[in-house]
Amino acid sequence: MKMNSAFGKQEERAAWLFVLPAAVSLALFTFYPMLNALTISFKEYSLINPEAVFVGLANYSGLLSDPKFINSLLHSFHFALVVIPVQTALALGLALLIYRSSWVTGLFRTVYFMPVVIAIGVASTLFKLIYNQDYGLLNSLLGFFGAGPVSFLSDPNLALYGIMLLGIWKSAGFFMIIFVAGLNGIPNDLYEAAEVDGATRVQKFVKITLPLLRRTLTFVIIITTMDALKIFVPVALVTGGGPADSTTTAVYYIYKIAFQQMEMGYGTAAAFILFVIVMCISIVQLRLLRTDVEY
Amino acid sequence: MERIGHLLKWIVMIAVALISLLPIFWMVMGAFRPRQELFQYVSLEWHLFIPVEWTLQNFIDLFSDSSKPLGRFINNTLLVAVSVTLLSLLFNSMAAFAFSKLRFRGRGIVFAVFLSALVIPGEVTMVPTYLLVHAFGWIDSFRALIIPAAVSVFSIFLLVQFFADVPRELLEAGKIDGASWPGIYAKIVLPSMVPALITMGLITFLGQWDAYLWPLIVINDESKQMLQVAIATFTNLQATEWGKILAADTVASVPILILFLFLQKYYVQSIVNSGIKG
Amino acid sequence: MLRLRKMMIVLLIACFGIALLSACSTKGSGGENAGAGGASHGTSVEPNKGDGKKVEIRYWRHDFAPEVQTLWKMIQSFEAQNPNIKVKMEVIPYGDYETKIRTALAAGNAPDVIGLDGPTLAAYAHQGAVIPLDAYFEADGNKEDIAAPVLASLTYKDQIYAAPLNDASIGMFYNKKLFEKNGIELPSKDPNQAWTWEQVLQAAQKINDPANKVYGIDPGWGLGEGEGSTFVKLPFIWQAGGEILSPDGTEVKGYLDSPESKRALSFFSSLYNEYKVAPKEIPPEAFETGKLGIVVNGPWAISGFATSHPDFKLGEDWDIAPLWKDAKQVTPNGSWNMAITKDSKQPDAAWKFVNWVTGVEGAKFWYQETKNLPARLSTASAIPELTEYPMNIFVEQSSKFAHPRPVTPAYPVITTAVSKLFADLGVAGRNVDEAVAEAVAAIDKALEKYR
Repeated sequence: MKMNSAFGKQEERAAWLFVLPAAVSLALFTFYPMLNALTISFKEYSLINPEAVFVGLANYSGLLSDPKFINSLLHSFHFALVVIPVQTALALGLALLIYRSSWVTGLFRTVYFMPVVIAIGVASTLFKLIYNQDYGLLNSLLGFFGAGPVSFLSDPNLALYGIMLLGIWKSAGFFMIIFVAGLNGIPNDLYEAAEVDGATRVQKFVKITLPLLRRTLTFVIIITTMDALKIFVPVALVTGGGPADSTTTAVYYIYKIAFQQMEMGYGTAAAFILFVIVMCISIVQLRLLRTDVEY
Repeated sequence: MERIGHLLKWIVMIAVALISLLPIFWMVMGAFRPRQELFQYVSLEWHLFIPVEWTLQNFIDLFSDSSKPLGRFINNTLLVAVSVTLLSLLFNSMAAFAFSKLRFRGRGIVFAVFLSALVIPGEVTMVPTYLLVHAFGWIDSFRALIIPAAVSVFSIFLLVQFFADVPRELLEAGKIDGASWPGIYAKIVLPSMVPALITMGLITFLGQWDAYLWPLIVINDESKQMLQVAIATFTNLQATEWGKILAADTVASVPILILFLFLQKYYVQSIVNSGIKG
Repeated sequence: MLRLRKMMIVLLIACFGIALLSACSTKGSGGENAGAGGASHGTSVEPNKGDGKKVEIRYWRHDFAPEVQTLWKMIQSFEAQNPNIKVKMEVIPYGDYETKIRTALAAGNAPDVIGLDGPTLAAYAHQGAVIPLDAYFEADGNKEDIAAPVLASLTYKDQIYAAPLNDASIGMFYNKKLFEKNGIELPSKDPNQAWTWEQVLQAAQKINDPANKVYGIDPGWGLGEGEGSTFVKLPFIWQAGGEILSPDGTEVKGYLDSPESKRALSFFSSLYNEYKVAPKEIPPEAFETGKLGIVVNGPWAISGFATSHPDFKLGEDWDIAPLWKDAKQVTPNGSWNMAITKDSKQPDAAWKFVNWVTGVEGAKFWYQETKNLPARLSTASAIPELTEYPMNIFVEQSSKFAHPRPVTPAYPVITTAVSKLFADLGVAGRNVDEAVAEAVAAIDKALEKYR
């Protein structure tokens, strides 16, 4: 159906007006600071002394040969590679269990969502206590089942998994709700038709549910990826990047460089390297998950 | 077979529910324990979760410290969080409506530029943003907390998800009836999207309720400080007052849990019916 | 596919466009910025011009209740003495104190007076963020009264940049009950009779009982990061006869990687890995609840334990001995100070306040209220309890055995690298030579800028 041009023009004007407040706010409070940060990344800029020296690409080339930065990137990727599939699968699994409406599923839905409501700062403090090797709740429970103890706080090989567990505990419920909304948007008659054709549950899931959830899935994966690659608060509060730097993720490293060591230029350059990486990953994801809705 | 599958399903559902709830429950109960009891019980028994000796001392300590008026911090935080939530409901839903339902040149590009804002870690733009807010003269004012937070790309992205479900035919029907685009937005789109708006509003409110680093940086006057910053002061260089922290965390979490339990009727439950069948 | 490529190109162009725009507007807003800054200072400076009008001094420090309460009292007495000056103190959570101060300095919006942790002084001074106080000290600061090692730690390139609130030292805190239960002879309380590393290790081995969740020793405030953690760990290196940097503070090679330093690091590592007397993870409040035999701590902990665990009594349940020694007896020093920032438009009034708190009389009041180790000799001699147990241990240590942390603008890098080094050896069980080489490389790179 083709619209007449008057209608289109009017619609276009309306659209810009609708976007305008958000666009102005973002330009001012996100993009303008971002571009300032970009210029800082080409300078040797001490945080407490704004008189900076332009050093060209020196910060960038220094970072690419800085093993600490590379390691922090690897920790972030490790985190993302585990959290994205596990959390997404868990959220979808829970959504499938409880998406049909009844008072029992309603109760479970509410319970699963409760960790989302707990502040990340509060959750981090809480998990730090729960993870304690000798006196934490986790090892008390594991001990009852004859397992453990697990030293999430002091074993460099495990600490990152402790942060992952906290992240998943805190966020899975949110994405579950998103999936629930998506699942309920799938018309029931499609399933009924498939049943008439004698489709099994798995077939129905693969042939109907997944394709129709594609837009929801795209949203969940994109947001999870960005969140995972930018993980910061739980690292700062639970492990402080330790033990022995094993949980120092990229953003935590950047924060330490910029604010503790006051090398703002170097830290900002690291942030832009991360920015480019996350951007590329997101573009690839959007391409792989391309749907009828334009993003 | 069917029965075993059913049993398994229930076991998984209950196990996940326990994992979701236990830490929160332990926190609330811990807030009612005297200091020496907090780390005393380590094996699986009743008292691992339920205090032996109930006490309100942690809460009394918390609220009786006149140098840290917690009630005032909660008021400040409420004021900021509610303002941000209201503004963001308006601005983000407007933008999301345009991106998901209106046709205009450059839509894809503008949206992509918007999304790129999600990619940069906020810690990095904090100093330039501080300089900007300082230039505006907003340091030490709630404006510095409210105005920059009013628009969120995450929220826009989230709403676009839901708005995409509203069939365009519905809008065009409104158009034919002579409604303007703002009229369609206000009378057709918003009312059908209440669960989505509540979802977004809750997440925004939560983000503001939890805000820590930015308020810490821009607010100097202690009487204007936010809740999470006040809680952070209980973690000292020398000794961490765990009982007080658990009590403070409980105080910070319970209002929002109640708000959530109240809203969930409109939101977690009704989101189920929000998918408009096309 | 095509659409995507087009999208990316347009995105890039848009970015450059905005970049150009912002480059132009940066100048504009820079001017604006200065204008706004000027204006806001104007309002606070103006009263200074008119006689008899009030000047406001802004003062930021980190939160620690006993000290903050003392400061409120001192501000009150100061304002009574100086009716023209009003002091506005703002208290910031310890964990992010530096972040807040530094962001404000970046915007030229810092308060007049800040609390400054000793080892960060050189970095602040090097960047011109704080002003030298020599002239003030000459006039009425009683410089000669400040303990020499403390003054040395506050001096960068021959200028003094801060006034000390107090000094700090650490001792060996031990659980008396656990010592007696395991038949261990108690260490001497005489500051000149410190235990050796070997004696400490033997005692820790006897106490250590991980099956019952009782551990021998926490030799240096766990294995996390933070300046406090570095403060209590550095003495190991000095005690073995090693150093972090050359005396002029410009070289790390040949110092942190000397055989003496490595011996200290190996000993530290062996506590965790070979003898396993130190827990890699410390339960909360372990010492106060009788789960840990030996810890290091400072005088501030005496009152801290008394309020948090009133049933855990000094002299009955626990006692303090001088910090252990090896080839040498060495203890750390330096603590928090007050400094005046470059952003202050009224440094004279700011100094008046600083000198009120840290001067001869202020220091005595500060000691009586906070029980922090005094930085002024006059305080030490004026108060009898400083010559008695337990305070005499800290006082004598700080006059005989104190060793300042390296004074260099690269210190923020050093503290991170050193705490990582200790963690690498303690918890990750890394090879000493490799871990040291890595730390030396990181520190060397940072020092390069200041040579």
